[in-house]
Amino acid sequence: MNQPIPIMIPKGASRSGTMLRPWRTRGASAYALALVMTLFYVCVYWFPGVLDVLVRPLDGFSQMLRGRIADQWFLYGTLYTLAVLIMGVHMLSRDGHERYHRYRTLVLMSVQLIAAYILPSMLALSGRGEFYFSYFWPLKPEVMFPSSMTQMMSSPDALTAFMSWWSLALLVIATPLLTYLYGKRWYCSWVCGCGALAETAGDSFRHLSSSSDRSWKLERMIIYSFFVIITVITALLWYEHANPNAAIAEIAASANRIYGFVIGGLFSGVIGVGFYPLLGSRVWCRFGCPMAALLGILQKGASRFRIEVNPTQCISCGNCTTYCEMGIDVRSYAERGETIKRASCVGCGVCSSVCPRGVLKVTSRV
Amino acid sequence: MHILIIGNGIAGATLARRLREARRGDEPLVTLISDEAPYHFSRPAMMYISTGQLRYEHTKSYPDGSWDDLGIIRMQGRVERIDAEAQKVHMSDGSMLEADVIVFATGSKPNVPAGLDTTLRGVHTYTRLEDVAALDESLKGALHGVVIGGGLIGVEAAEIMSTHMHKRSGSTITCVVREDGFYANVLPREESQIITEHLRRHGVGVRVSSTVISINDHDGDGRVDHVTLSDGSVIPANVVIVATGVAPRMELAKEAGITCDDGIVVDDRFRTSHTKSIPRKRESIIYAIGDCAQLPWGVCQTWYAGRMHAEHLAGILAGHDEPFREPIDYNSAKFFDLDWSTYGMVPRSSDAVSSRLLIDRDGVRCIRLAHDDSGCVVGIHALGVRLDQRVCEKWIGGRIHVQATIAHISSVIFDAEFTTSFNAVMA
Repeated sequence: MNQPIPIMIPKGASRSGTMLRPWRTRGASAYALALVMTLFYVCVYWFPGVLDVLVRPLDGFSQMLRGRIADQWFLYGTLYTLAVLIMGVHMLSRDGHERYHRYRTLVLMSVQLIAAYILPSMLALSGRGEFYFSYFWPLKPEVMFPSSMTQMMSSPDALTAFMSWWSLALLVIATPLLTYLYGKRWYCSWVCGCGALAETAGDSFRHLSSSSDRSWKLERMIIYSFFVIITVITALLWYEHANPNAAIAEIAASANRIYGFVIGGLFSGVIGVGFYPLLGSRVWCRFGCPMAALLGILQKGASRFRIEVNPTQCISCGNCTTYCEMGIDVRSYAERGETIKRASCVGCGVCSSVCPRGVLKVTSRV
Repeated sequence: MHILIIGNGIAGATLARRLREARRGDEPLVTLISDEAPYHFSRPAMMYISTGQLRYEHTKSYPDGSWDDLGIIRMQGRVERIDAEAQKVHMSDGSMLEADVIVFATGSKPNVPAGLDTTLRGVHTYTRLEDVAALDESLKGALHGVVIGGGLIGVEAAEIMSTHMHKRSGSTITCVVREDGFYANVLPREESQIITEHLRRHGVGVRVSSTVISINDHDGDGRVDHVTLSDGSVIPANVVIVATGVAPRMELAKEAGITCDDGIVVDDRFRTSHTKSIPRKRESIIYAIGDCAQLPWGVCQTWYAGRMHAEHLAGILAGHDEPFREPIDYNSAKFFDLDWSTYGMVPRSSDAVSSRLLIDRDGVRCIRLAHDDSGCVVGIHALGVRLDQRVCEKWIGGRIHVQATIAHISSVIFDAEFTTSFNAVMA
């Protein structure tokens, strides 16, 4: 019989074929991709000269946007934003039929483009320092360090002073309030740039996150240690600021240098993004990010956010656990009929989308 | 006490785990025999292995190590024969096992209409794990798929074919359905029509009121190349999935002299006809649960029922001698992107007199509330809307009036956040 209508796969089956592609299942091409991305990060952080051939062509564009020639960070920011935008469109074409994913992806793309790319460039053009309205302590710890904070707050320039107050307000007002109301997702899967890349370019690798108990233990051990370390460094700096002491200043400064190298560079960039094709898209968010640690504590302790379950309808298929980018064994909760409240859940909503039996509902409604 | 369970599907596996979770010391000893997968996996998830969304490993509901941790003895092999009198199980490799309690959890096997040549290459049934690999092989390069049957396995088969074939130009998928609409032997007319249209919109040809009278290999290469329908029309086919329902797997029980009818006949404590007391020994009982069991009210071949049976029998074997009362059954499935779930009894003859049908303005999403003569809700099902099973059970069990349920319809909806809200117009 002739069929005028072409065969279409169901929209809900957007993840079919995932397990058949070597680049998405740790095949040789995945290793090659990881190697290229890792090398790129190593160059950006430590051997920028190598990238000159890519940086120079951007000079004109950078001059126009920021009033100065390009450097490796401009190249990095441009590629990063392009990756979020292009893969964001891809994500929209795949999962955009669901409103939650449509809104979330559009917000992520806009925040990346505006708050993390255009605005900082415009600030640079106006002679101020590059400032990111979407990052604050402890993800971007230096904004809360006494040196920059006192300097910015007492700046005669009203905008510079505002930026400092903005960072402070995001930390002490917005963070607890929004996390109480909506869970950590308000930041991790709607605003944050790391989240933006993970949810767009990284979406193809979300199933690579390990859901074993061992990785959960490791996660708790590492992420809270990092949070404690950056808190101690920040506290030391403020203590020294109030009681000047050369020895303490030296200790805090070198601790901060090591933190910047190991956590800011090696972990968040090289491993966090470079290893997408091997470890999944949220390695940094899950194991390293001190912001995620803080938001996670709030989410677990003082938030309305949870994933509700309709447990009797669960068929234990494993789609939720497989496609959880944070490696949460969602299925085990659904089978036990237990409402899911996990510190690490970024509320991306994919578990609920891939569930074929309507068992999961991500929500923060009273 | 040694409890031997034949079959590690949802019924057998759940029973084994519950028995060992409640163990006292080493008791009871539990052996779980399977002639299929070494570890229990979620059978309803099998289609996702075929679409490449999951791997077999992902569909295993429990970590491999947990079976040993629980002390469940897993055995791979086929049971050849059961000696009910002596409570002995003979395996096909010649070995023999003795047990105090034998439980049939042998599930179902596919129905194949008589007269169809299913031995040709490219012709499959789809109920067991090994069918996945076989079908995968046939789907490679296939251009024309035919599904025989308009039920829950049929729609899975069509979806699997669509994920493999949608990029191949000129490809066709045809479902041959005996009734006048998809799943019309279960669903009322309106819902069946919605699903039939939904499949057609996805490019799946649905041939209603038709049967396949022969599966043919015209060029004689041993592989199917077309099927012939009852009206004489011929449809090209490189791959055929026979999805005309399943029947209880009860040969072993029959050969052992146990009473069988539509399934292995059991009472409300899952006891088969082989139930007797042996002097100075425990009772010797053979049980049957899941798809293969025929309870006093009939056979119920749903995955959820298998799990319920197992949970209940585990209680009985642990000493809670409670009869299993007919539950408010429920089931769920997916027709391409449409979630479907059903609770209680919604007869296919449901009409405006015996039920209320709420259809969303999109003309697809709907909820039907079937009621008895006094207006109390006896069954609910929904298409394209996710419902909360616990609320449905409360409504049906509590004999709530249909008007009251309609007034509170939003409290039963379990849709994801930001889903376009269900705006029903009364049909």
